[in-house]
Formats: sequence, C-alpha cells, structure tokens
Amino acid sequence: MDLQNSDTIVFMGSNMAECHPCGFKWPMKAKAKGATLIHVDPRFTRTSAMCDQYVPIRSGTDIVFLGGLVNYILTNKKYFEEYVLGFTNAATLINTGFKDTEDNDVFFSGYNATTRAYDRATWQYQTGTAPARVPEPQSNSEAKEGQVGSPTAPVAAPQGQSVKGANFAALIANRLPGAPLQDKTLQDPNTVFQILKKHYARYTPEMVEKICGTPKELFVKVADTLIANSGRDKTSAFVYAVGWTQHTTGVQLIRTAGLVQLLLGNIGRPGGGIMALRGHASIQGSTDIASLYNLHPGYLNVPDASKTHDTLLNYILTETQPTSFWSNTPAYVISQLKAWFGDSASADNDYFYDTLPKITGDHSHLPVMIEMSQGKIQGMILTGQNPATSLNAVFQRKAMAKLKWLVVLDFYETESSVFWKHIDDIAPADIATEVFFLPAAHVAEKDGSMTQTQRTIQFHKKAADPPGDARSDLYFWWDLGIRLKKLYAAGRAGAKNLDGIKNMTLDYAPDPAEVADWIHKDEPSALKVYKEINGFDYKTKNPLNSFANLAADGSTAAGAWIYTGMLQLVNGQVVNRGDMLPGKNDGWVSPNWGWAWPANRHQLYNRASADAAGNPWSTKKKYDYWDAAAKTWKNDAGDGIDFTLTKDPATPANPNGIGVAFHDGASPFILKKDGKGWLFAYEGLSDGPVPTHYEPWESPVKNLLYKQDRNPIAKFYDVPGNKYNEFAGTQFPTVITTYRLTEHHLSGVMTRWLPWLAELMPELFVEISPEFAKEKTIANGDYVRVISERGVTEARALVTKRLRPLTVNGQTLHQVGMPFHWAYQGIATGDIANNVTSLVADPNVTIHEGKAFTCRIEKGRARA
Amino acid sequence: MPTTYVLPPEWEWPITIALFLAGVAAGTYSVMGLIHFAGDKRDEPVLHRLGFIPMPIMIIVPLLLIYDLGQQSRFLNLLIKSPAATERPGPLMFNPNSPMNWGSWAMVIFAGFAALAFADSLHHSGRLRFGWLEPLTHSKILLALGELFAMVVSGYSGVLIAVTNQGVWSDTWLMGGLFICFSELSGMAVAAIVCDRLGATHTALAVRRALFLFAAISAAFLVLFLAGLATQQDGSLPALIASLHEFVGVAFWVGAVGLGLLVPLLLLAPRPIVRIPNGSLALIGVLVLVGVLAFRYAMFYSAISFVQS
Amino acid sequence: MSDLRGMFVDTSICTGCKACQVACKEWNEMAPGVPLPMEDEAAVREHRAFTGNSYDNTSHLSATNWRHVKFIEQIGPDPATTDRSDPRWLMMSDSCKHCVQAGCLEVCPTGALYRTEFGSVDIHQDVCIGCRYCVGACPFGVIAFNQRTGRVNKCILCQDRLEIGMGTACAKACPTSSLTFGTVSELQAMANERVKLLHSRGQTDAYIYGWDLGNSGTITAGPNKGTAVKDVEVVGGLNVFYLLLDKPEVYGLPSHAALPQRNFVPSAGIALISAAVLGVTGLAAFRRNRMSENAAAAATAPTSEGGA
Repeated sequence: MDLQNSDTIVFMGSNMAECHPCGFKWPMKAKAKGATLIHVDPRFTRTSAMCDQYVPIRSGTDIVFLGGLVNYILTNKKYFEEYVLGFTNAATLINTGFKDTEDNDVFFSGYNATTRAYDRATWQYQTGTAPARVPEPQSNSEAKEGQVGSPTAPVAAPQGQSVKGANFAALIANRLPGAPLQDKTLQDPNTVFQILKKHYARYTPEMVEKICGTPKELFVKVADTLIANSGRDKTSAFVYAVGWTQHTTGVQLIRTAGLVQLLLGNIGRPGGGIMALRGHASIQGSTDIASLYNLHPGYLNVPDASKTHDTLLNYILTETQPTSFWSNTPAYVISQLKAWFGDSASADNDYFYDTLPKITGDHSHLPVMIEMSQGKIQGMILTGQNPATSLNAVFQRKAMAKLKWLVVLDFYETESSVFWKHIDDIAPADIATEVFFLPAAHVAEKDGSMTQTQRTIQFHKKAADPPGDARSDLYFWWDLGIRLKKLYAAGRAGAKNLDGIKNMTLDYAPDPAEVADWIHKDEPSALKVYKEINGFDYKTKNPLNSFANLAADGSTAAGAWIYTGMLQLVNGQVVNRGDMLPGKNDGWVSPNWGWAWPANRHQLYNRASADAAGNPWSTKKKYDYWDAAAKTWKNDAGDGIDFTLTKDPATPANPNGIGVAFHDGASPFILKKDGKGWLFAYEGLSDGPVPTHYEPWESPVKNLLYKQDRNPIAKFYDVPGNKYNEFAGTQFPTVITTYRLTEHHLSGVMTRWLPWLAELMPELFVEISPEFAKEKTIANGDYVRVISERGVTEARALVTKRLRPLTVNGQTLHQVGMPFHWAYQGIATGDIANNVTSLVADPNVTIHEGKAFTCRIEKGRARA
Repeated sequence: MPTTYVLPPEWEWPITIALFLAGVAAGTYSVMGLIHFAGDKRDEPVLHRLGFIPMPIMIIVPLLLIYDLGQQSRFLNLLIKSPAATERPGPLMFNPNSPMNWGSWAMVIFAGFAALAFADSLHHSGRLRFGWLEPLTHSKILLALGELFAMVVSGYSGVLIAVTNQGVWSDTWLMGGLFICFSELSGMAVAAIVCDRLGATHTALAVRRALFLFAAISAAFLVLFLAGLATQQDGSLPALIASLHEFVGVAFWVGAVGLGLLVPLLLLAPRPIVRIPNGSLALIGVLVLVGVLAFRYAMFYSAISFVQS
Repeated sequence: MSDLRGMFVDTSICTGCKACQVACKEWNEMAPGVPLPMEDEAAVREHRAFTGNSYDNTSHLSATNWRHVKFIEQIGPDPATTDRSDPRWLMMSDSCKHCVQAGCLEVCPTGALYRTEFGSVDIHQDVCIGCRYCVGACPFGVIAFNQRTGRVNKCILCQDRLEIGMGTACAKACPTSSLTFGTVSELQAMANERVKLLHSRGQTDAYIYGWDLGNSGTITAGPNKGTAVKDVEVVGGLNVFYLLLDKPEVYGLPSHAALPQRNFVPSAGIALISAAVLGVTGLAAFRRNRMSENAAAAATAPTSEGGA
C-alpha cells in the first residue's frame, strides 16, 4: 500500500502487473499522483506496458546494473549524506586485514579454495573494548528457578547446563561486544564508505552497457530519475520478486538494491523501501510459520548439529544477539517450546529441547532431491508442492521413483501424484513407489489465516464444505500427530527422544459450536492453532497482547513471537485483529484492516523517517517524529513505531546496554547489532560482504568484470542427470529466462484444471524476438524445441518485438523467455519448461537459478 | 491485432433458398398482376397456370426460414407477442424498425393472396369450383394490394440485409431495389417456362420483351450498386471484389451476371446478338432462375462480415 | 437520467490480467441455460488453442465470451522494422457498450432484446427465436449466436446483480479500477477528469470513445504517432464507454458506428422506386402485346428464322 506514496518505483526482477495484479493497484495510484514507473526486465511485459520507462537487461546481470547505480550515486556525490552518515554503517571501520575483490581481482579476503568457503574473520568491524567479563560458574545448582535478574546482578551462568535458574540478562550482558569504531569524515580507507567506493568503481555506465546490454543512456536516465526522486522531499521504491531471488547470486543481488536504497535514504520512509513480492497468497505466512527446514516459526533457527546447540542454554546463548532486538530470544524460544510441549515442559527438562531433531546440513529442496535420487530417502509427503514439474523435472521424477512411499495432498491428481506414468525411460511397472493420494480442501473450504506480502494477517472462515473426502491439510497433520502420539505412548518409557512426540500438545479439538454446520465434525479448530501461535498466559490461558509480554520462565507460551498480538485481550474480551472486517476509514496505513506483524507495525525501521534529531525529513514525507513535550515517538498515520517508544533521539549509545539499549537514539535498524543499515555485511552472508557480479552458472559470456566467472561459493550438484551447459560455450548460445503469467499459477495445479483459465493461456509457448526467429526461420506459432544438457521442452513460438536481441560486449546476443505453468495433467496440458533447467543454487539460501541460464532453440517438434 | 468490427449472422443455406423461392413466388404473382392489368384473354392460360405457383412456394418458404431459426418452435414470436416481451405494446408483434417484422407480416398476408390466386386457378382448371371467390379473385383493388405485398416480400430481404452493420450490405441503399429486380426477373423467368410449356406464343412475346427489359433494369441497378460501393470510403467495393473468389465468385460472375443478366440481354434483345432456336424460351427461363439463385447466394456469402483493416 | 448505469473503461490502466473475463464467465455461468464449458469438453478443446496473437487466446467476443481483453503490441513505430522506440502494449477490456441507440434492439423482431430500467440492453432468453438479425446489426460485433442454445448472448450488464443493487462482476474483479461501474453521469465526470490528468502528465493521446466530452489530443507513440484524436460520440452515446490512447480502429472499434436503421427508409424507398419502374415496364411490355393484335406471329418470326 505504501507504494502509492512513492515518487519513483523501479520494478526489477518482478513482473508485478502480471504476477501480483491486485497489489499493482498501488503503483498505479502512485502513477496517477505523478510518480515515474520504471521496469528493468529482459522482456517487455504487461508491467512494462504500465511503466514510463522500459529498460532492457540481460538476465542475471542485475548486480552490474544496481552496482552501476551505486557507483553513479557515489561518484556524482548524490547520496543522502545526512541519512548515510547517521543511519548506515558507512562511517564504520572494517578490520584492517580486509581485502576487497579489487585488491586481488578475484576474491574477498578469507577465501579457502579447497572448501570453497569464506572465513569472515577479516570482515569484522573494528571495535572498542568490550565491557569487563564476569566469570561464569559451571553449575547452576544454587540459582533460583525462573529468575531473570538485572544485568548488573551477579551472573549465575550455568554454562553447558540446564536453563533452570539461568539469569539470561546477566548472561547476555556478559557477552556484550565493544562498540564499533567510526570515522565520521568517511576518509579512512577502511571505512565502509571508502570500501564501497573502491569496490564499485568498475561498475561504470559503459560497463553496464557492455555487460547488461542496456543502452547507456537508458541506464543513466534511470539513475537520474532515482536520484531526482530521493532525498528529503521524495522517496523511491524498488519492487522485486523471484526475478531477483532465483539466481546463484540472488541474495547479493537484493542486497545491492539495499545499498542503493540506503545511499539514497529510502529505507524506513513512506514511499521508500524494497518491496519483496511473495509468490502466492500466504507464502509470507509459510515463511513466518516456517515451512523451511532451517527455521522454526518466528525466524528462530532450527537447532544445528554443527553449531553450539547441544543444550537449550547453549542454543539460546548462541542464538541471542546481545546488541539488537534479538536480545529477547530467550523468551521467544522458551515460550515456543512451552506452546509445543505444554504442561510437562519445564526448566527441569529443558522444555524438551533435547527431543528436537537437529539439522546436519542443507536439507532444502534441491539437496533432498539429490539424496532421494541416491536412494537415501524412503518416503515423502507433498502438500501444495509439485516436484514432478520442478527444476530439472526429469531428474526430480526419476528421484521420486526411488521412494518407497509418497503421500500427495492436493486438489487434483497432480503431476507428482502420477509421476510414475511419465518417466520416458522407466516403465511404470518398474517403479515400486507406493503413492497415496489424499484429496485436499481448498482455501475457501476451511478456516485459517493468511499472511500476505505486507505481513498483514487475516483470519478467514470457510465458505463451503469441501467436496467428497477432501480434508484440510490441518486435519491431516493433526490426525497424523495424534496417531503418532498413540503409537509412542506405549513405547519405551524414558526413551528421551520420544518424549517430544509424547508431550506434543495438539489441543486443537474443535468446540462443537465451531463445527456445527460443517460436514466433518472432527476437523481441528484453526482458531485454536491461531491462538497457540499468538501466545497466551499459561496460567490464565488469556491471549497475550504483545511479544513484550513473553517470558523466558515457562509462564507464557507462544508459537511464533512475531505473531503475538494478532489476538488481543481488550477489556476482558478476546479480539481477533486479523478478523476479516471491512476496512474502516482509517487512512492509507489502515492499521485496523487486518494486523501486520510485528506489533501492527506496517513500515519496518520507520524511525528512519525522521532525522537524527527526531524531526521529519520533510513535511511531505512526514511519518514518525519525536514529540519532545510528550517525551514519546508519534505517528499520525496510525502506524506502530518500530523503535523504543520513549527513547529520546538524543540518547547516547550505552556500551553496557543490552539489546537496543546498546544503540543510541538515532539508530533505526533495531534488528541489526549496531542499529545501522548495513552497506557492508560483516556477517550473515557466505559469499562476500559487498555484492559482486558473477555471471549466471550457465552464461554464454565470460565475466567481464573479474577473473572469476561464476559465484565461487554457489551450490552446484555434480550428479548424473544434472549436467550443466558448457560455460561460455557455443552449443547453448541463447539466454533463457522462465517466468509466470497472470493466467496461471506456478505448476498450474490451481489453474490448468479450470476451463475459464485454461482457455486464456492454453499452451506452452516461448517468446522469441523477430530477429532471432528470422535467424532460425521460425514463424509465429511454429513448434520449437528448447534444448539444454538436461533435456528438451517443446513449445509454440510466440514471435514478438517485446523480446529484443541485446548487444553484449559488442556481440549480438539473443534472449528467449518461457513460462513454466504447463505439464501433463489437467485440461490445458503441455510440455514442462523445467525439463531444461538445472539444479544449481545460491550459497546462502539454496534458491535455484531458474531465471538465467542457457539453451539452444531448434525449429520443429520434440516428440512425434 | 483486433480488426473485426462485426460478427457475421451466420445465416445458412435455407435462407438463401427461402429468399430465392420467396422472390420467385412474389415475382410470379407480380407477372400475374401484370397480365391482369395489361394482358388479355390470350394470356389467360398462362395466367391461370402461374396462379398455381405462389401458394405452394409460400408454404415451403416459411418452413425453410423457420428451419434456420435457433429456436424453431418459437417462430410465432415474430407475429404474436410473447408474454415475456412485456416492453412492447399490444398483442401482436410488430417492430416497425425491423424489416424482419415487415417481411414476416408481408409473407403472412401475401400467402393469403397466393392462396386466393391458387383457388382461382383451381377454379379455372375446373378441378375444384371456387366461383364464389370471384368477387375477391377478380377484384382489381385486392390484386393491386397483392402486388404491393408481393413487392414487399421480394424486396424486404434486401432492405433487411441493408439494415445491418455488415460490410457491403449496409454500404448501399440499392440492396432492396436489386432484390426486387431479381425477384421480378425470376418471376418472369417462370412465366417464360410456362409460356414455352403451354405453347402460349402470344404471351411469350410479352414475356420475352419483359424479361429483356427486366434484365436491363437489373443490370443498371447492379452497375449503380457497384458504382455506389466504389464511392464508399471504407473500401466496400474492393472488399466485395476481394470476397468474390472461389465458388462465390463463380456464382456472382457466371451465375448472377452471366446467366441472370447477360443471357436474357444477349438472347432476347429486340435485335438479338445471338439468335436462339425456337422453343428455347424455357431454357432461357431456367438459366435465368439459376442466375437469380446464384445472385442470392453471392450476395449472402460474399458480403457477410468483411474485415476492415 | 440519474438511473442510467454503465461502465467507464480506462484502457490506460488496464494491465490485461483478464480477471474481468473470468469474473464474467463465473458470475454468468456462460449465461442462463448455457452449460459451463467443462460439461462439453470436446467443444471447449476446439476453442482452446494458442493463437499466437499476443496474449489474446480468446480472439473476440462471442456467445460465451461476453467480455474480451484485446492486446495490441506497438513496439516501435512500425511492426516490420527493428525500431523499438516508444514501445507500447495497449490493452482493452471489451464488451457490449449498451448503446443509447442500440442496433441489436432496434432490429429485434420479437421483443427479446429490450432496454432495462438501468438503460442497459438485456435479452429475454425465453423470447429470442435465434434469427440472428441482431448479430449482423450490431456495429461492434458484440452480440453473438449461441449454437448450443439457439439463442443470442451478450453482456447484459449483470442485470441480476444490478437488480439487487450490486455493480457488475467484471468491475468488481478489476484490480486497477480500469473498469469502473456507476451512473453514466458520474462516470463521464470521472472520465473527463482522468483525461485531463493524463494530458497534464504528457499523455496527450487520451480521449473518450462513446461520448464527446470535448477533449482532444495527439497520439504520442506507435504507428499513428502525431495523429490528432478527439472525443467521439458513437450511436447517441455508449453507456459503457472507453478512454483510448490510439485511433478507435487500432482497438477494433469503428470510428463511425451508426444505427442500421439509417439505411431503412432510403433502401425501402429505392426498393419501391425499383418496384414501380419494373411494374411500369412490365405493364408496358404486356400492354404493347395486347395492342398489336396480330403481332404474335410476326414477333416469333425472327426466332423461327433463326431456327430454320
């Protein structure tokens, strides 16, 4: 919604009009108010059609483009100086041992070629002296249970012991680092500012043109537009989606936009920011209430065998950041365990922490499928997932053939549920996988909540009973949990690792009134799950109004601390802030429409909307401000203040302060250890503190910036069936990108079965420029083969000038685009675009590279 | 690229046949009228034979028209207002803006006149006695009225297709006139066949003359029609000519122009360019009828929804 | 006439998402009595084909497409060259315009087509006989024959929704408010404001198709760049009207649409004249025959000679 306040919006790595058509009304409102809309994309799409500027780019070169913006802003001194100096780590000094890619033309310091990994020691801040440490005893027998004392109290630190009696505040205080050192003149060569300047000096407009194929004048126009529409009076926003994430450099790519926005002062301010468009209705919710292997709900890390996570106490001490908002981690973790394991969970048994499985490495989709292909995985449960059409689809189908059993919960008989009929070189009779298909209820056929891309949560009641035997996913998992509990109840007493399952609460049995008109009376209560996620006082069972109420002593329970407050106790009544109430007339922030986590704060880091002294940067962009008389922060638009409400802007940093108290009153980035926006990321990233351009894993051209062609840390899988196209070779000279259309959704399970949608986009096609079509004698509508080392995809040619050949390093380079919605089930069927993609991923988050790879196009059909 | 402004009404072959037949019936009836008003005793055998023709045709025509409707059982909605169509006044259905309503009613009424003519012919053939109908069958006023409705029947379909937004059809005001011309031509062609069969040489003389003159008038209308289309800014004439290909083109040039117009013009001129053998008038009549059918066909299928660029 | 309801279609903010098309089909279930497509898979499959015409795979309005989004690619001034300057991709959601003077309604011989209390044009499905006259009479190619029901169908401005105080399903579904439902007078004011706004932003090609609100401008891109455009009133006004960015023809709309009845009186008049000419000529032919008592033998002479 905030996009309506932007003066310029750059869509890059996003086709918002097509893939997020409902949200696109907000950019259109901004446009009606005079904003300039810019689309940077390999294809001229329906988004480009709505924009003032369309800027072509070669897929996978976004860091060059964005790095070019960084360079342009720095060399022309167009950054928002006051913002950069005050709110970012530009002035912070980096370890003198740090070496940039500029220094040796290949890697940052700390690179180990054998392990293909960085040691981040030299990337750290220079700091002052840390507060004196208090010795920590090795036993906690004398401590009182549940005591959370003041940080100055004597430390009762049961290092390596149970959390019983742990004084977390004291333990955290004992881990405070020294304050980062700064050079406010920005002259020291070890300041982040000088490192950035040096690092991006190569990213000139000429280099942008040479690598991205973007005409220089179009790039400069974008830069000038952004600069003209940023600063005190104006703000610009970036909008991205999976066009940025699905790269071997995806995380760094998004970070580069972060650099641009921090330099222009566009973070934490109305109309600014970087809008991450999530893929579908509640994918934000499925990240928050984590469906990821390495996260527990509320972005708490899953215990990891390779970290100091052996006990709950060590887990908490490892995970708690002493100098950011994450200093409250102990309360979040213990409340979560209390929510899961209920009455019998206590400090005495470390809240059953020991029964949680620990991860031993990367268990995300790609590595799991690799292991499956090697016969290491027995069974799989798929809900809302369709790997039979996913990356390197042939490989994934063959991997599934190694399974003993497969459970599929979906609306229709998905491709994955009948994968065994569709492997070219394996007869169905030779596949032993036992497949169970369970019909699933649709979203409108069950209660539940959704969290959309702006983190707004809404709870919805079901509209109709599901047909036939279809059941909610919740029912499936709940029933599975109850059955497991029954099975284990009779199991070996004292088998510690089973205590978790035995003690799972699972108290979701519906109240009779809830299911009175339902066809299935045994569907679990989504509202009870919701209440557990929200959190409650363990004694009174009343919902908690804020995560500030969470305690680390087992007196509170909360499934996900960030969601605490969506249910609230107001005057003794439970109010569901996420109820689907009609929007009240409460301004553009609409704080009463749904509920945005955390604490109904819609704009994150919104302290940055006021200057260091707490005054709005300008009247036009007024948002948060410090009311000196009332000694409090205020926001007239109704948004929650994402800052300590009563913290005076003039408050100095406190080297002995825990959490945000460590920061001064002018540090808006409360989740960061130094309270600053990070132009230089000394931790959190495995492939470098400053974004650097590497070519996609498969590219027809070599890296023109560095000797290193591809991300040295990228995750690749050298396994049979996943051969990569030769890098910069001649066999696969064409750049290809895959994408979505408005008319279909992902692998099409929700759309290709619907005649009304099927007719709108009936067949798989590949978009080709007339120039390339002429070269290949392909006519509009012809069948063509798209070929890679992994396989062949057959598609109809859609010859259109919306695609264009690019001049890259003086050579003409063709790009094609292919949507990935089709497969062999449903009523609009077609070949699988992912037959040609490969398994290769970003090192930080293991997201595949589906947006930029290479192929060869041939005229004619693939199969008789 | 979106280019089509209009959708074709997709009228099928029964419509072509029906309108051709209606034209024959109306044309035949008009020839009877001509004989009544301008002929004499010597023309009576022909007159009485012609009287048998319109009524059976006017039974077939509505059947064909109804056959082509999407909802055949509802054809009466054309004449009697459906109770659901509450917005229209009165019990009968008549929308003065719709040539189809004019045509429907004209056909019903004309069918009555055709029935009278049929009865009269029966009476004169001596097979059934309808002498009591003579005040009606011999009434000049009723005959004149019958003539009028015959003209409406023969011409309404031309006006109807002009009152559309289809290319060519609606680009000219001459379609109604052209349809009447070709109806009359077909009526006279029927008369020519009858004359030949009956050996009515006296009547044949007038029929030959009329056939020639009607063909001449029709040709003149056709030229005006083409010239009119040529002046249209939206390029109707090129569109028409472009659409005259394959069978439709053959129908237009060989059938309508060749058989329908050139045959009578060349063979029946006062000083004929080509001399024809005796007793070939029936053949000419048949050729002209084929030509008129071809004209209907060409007009229907050539001009239905052309694409404007 | 504040009761008149209509829609304003602002093509400048249409993203071509086709939600209107789907909402229309969903709400109307393909019009009363028409089976949903899934019930006749073979028939649907025949229609469901890749056209290669930009992102348009439903091609035109029909008995089961009461709404249709058009896609016009203008990447550069000339599609035949590689010049891609000022690229545009125009989109327009098309439907029945509910003309103030409606050709379909004028020619309907059964009273099946009628003007509703909202000023829209609806069809009594139980009166329509399927004569298809209206199909040819519509200047926009909107109304179409439904082979399966033997009747005609078109957008009926969600008459059933309007009757209970709701707006149209398509406008409800439109994410960018490119389709807005309301009273015609309000919509005209909104349209006028919108044109003025676009002009002030330099998009001078915006103008109104359906009503003459006095706007004029110049096309800024595409093959017609530089051509002057101005508001155009069509067939007495369109209750569903458009903001366009190029000449009407580019969107497949006629610049000069008119009622078919414009041809009625002249055509009928000329028909009468031709009838008179033919009648007089015919009368003369027979009259001359009667006058020449002995002419018969003489007249046949030439042919006899010819035959000899």
